[in-house]
Amino acid sequence: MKKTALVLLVILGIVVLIGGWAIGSYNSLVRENEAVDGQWAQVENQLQRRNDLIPNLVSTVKGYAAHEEEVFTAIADARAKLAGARTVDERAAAATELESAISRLLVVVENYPQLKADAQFRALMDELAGTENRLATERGRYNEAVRVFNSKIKQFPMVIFARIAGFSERAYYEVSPDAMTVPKVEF
Amino acid sequence: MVTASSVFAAYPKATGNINDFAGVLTQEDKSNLEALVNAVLDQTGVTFAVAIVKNHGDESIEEYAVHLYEAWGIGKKGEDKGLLIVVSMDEHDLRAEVGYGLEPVITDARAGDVLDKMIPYFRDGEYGKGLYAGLLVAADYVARDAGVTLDLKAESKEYEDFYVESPDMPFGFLALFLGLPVLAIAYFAIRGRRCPRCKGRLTVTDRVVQQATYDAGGIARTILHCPKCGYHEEKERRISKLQRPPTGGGFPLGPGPFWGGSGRGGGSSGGFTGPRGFGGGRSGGGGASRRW
Repeated sequence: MKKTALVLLVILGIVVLIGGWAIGSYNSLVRENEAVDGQWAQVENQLQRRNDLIPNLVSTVKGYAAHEEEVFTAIADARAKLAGARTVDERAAAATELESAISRLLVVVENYPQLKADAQFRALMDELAGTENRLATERGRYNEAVRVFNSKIKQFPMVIFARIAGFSERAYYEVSPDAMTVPKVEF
Repeated sequence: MVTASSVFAAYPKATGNINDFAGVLTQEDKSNLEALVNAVLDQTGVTFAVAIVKNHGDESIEEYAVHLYEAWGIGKKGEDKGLLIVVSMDEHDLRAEVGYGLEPVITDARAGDVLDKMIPYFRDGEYGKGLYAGLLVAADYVARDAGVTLDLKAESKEYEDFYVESPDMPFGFLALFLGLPVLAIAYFAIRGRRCPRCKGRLTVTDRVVQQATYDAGGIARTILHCPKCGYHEEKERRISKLQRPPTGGGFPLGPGPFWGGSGRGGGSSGGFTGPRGFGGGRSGGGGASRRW
């Protein structure tokens, strides 16, 4: 009689412990998952901000170099693609394409010294460089948040629990190495 | 490729708001810069900090600045109203890193202006004066935004040049002449609003939805409301782009106070006070970079 009570008590204790662990883990997973979402929103902000800057930049450049149609078309195409992209991977790819179109624009700009001296253009370049840098910063923080989350749900007891609770790995914002450099215009 | 941004390399500890790890500032430079930083902090709540380092190591100046900003936590947590100037001597790299909360005030283009002011001095090896000239521009933006006139003065003779009255004095008068009629028109335009339904007087609320920058106009919303019959109307209008402030000449920083007596020997000379206005603020890579 006494023995069965003890066994029951031990089992109860174990159940409570596991339950407590499960609740704690679940909450921390939710928190970190939210952190990833929050950080992604910051990345989106910067993508949007850059998207807003580009029409100004293009129209300023057009004032001096109207016949460089090819570059303007490439930028317009890339912007349209970015607007249609939904997942992290798609958006990252579209953003990279836009980055390379912008770099080409900046190469074109090199041929127009008057444009480079334009105050409006210089201000735009500061805004653009700042946005690229913000994007790099927020992207780094996003990837860091993803890394924390992913490494947590891949570790042993959690890997089973996370699957039951419906959490899956989050995608990194992957960038090709040549797109990592912030476009720079030297004055 | 994943950037591991959490690898906190050895970032130097701040000993005050003006940190000269490369030993290029004189005591006079320091006390003038500290006085400027203290005045801005006390009168606007915005924290300025300076780090002069030998080099920025393997990181780019941008990465170094954002990490150093986070390590120091400039500005209050959640408010993030701070500006960090990083001067890296070996590479001749210069960066203004703007806290999240100050981004609407010190836009990237304005951060560029701040640095452009410093460069001529830096090329002559006058680091203290360069920083001072640049921070005055930043202080001006911050003060205008806070709606205050900074009470500032040079701490020593060599820095009094920054406070000489500008020769093109009529600027103030011009602003007054142009501004009064505009204000009058605006006043009458707003005051005269009558409710289209009951002819009662409307209350008019103007709110800025999106701040204007140099490059993009902003949006403002005008809300008309009739307290009598409940008539309600909202209109959005565009705010035109910001104009660049007049460059050259003196700074419209208020009463060039060097004639204002010699009182107020305030504590800026007292060495080991530690950094002020550091409270866990963060930045997100906003600002500008230059090379001198």
